[in-house]
Amino acid sequence: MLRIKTILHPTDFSESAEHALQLACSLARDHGSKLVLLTVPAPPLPSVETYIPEYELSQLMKESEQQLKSVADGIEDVSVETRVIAGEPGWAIVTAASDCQADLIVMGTHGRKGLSRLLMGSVAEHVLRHAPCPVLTVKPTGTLPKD
Amino acid sequence: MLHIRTIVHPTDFSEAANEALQVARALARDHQAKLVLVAVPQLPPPPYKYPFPPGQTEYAADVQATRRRLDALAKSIVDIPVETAISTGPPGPAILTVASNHRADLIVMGTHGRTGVPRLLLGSVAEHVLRHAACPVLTIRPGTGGHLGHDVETGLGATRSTDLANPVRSL
Repeated sequence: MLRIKTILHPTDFSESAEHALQLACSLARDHGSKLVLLTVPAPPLPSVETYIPEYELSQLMKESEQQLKSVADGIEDVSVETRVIAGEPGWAIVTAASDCQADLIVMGTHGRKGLSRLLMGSVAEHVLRHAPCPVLTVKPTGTLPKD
Repeated sequence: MLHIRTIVHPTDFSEAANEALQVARALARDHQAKLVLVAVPQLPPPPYKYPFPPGQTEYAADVQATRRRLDALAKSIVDIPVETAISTGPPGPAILTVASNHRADLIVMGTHGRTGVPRLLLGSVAEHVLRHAACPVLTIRPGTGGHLGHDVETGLGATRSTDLANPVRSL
């Protein structure tokens, strides 16, 4: 069996990411891999006109961690780790891949912003160009091998 | 077990493609999938027009040569079912046509090919396939294929940190 020790799955909890997560889990199960879930929270942009409460970065990180943990809890038969990194998503994903020595990155091509006119989102594109390991990209509405 | 039934591997017979091929083979073996090797003969330099006028013997020769090379490559793979496909035209769309005809569950390819323009972080053919493929695409940058190492116990090839002179023995 092809040995894939660590699979990194970056997610922004969008539908596209969900699609990729399914594939990541199936692969992890089949190849005995550890699955590392990563999210890179984006702070909300302050609006000039309305007053909104300021989010502290740590608060945002904590919420993201909780969200990620609940995704991890729903995954059976796979060893899962979670990571939350603040920063520019493309860079954060590539750095995380090096740090956790990922053998494979499995990610959606589009994120929550889902600019569907773009055939591939900018974060996926950045990761593809700079990743230290092979990358498996999954379309939000494409075909997916079933378990 | 993930139902990967058909894996399409586009190749231009370069080193980068070969790296991706090894991964494609291993995955096909693991998931009992069929492997479809695709090659797209190089287009002659412009000016040319479609369909090729009857006198284009140079291009025809290139198609034949590519077909022979692809068949030879397919013959060298004995442990999994292999099919070959030659697709003509601009490489990106040609590859996608084959993938869709074969209902590919997965495409496995190198990020760069023979022309390997180093300043491009992602080759143009890989980019096209990535953007338009319906199925998941696994891209392998030259030199990173070793991450998907072979299982030590089956004795297939070496793990990434081992050199071939000192094969790893199973424990």
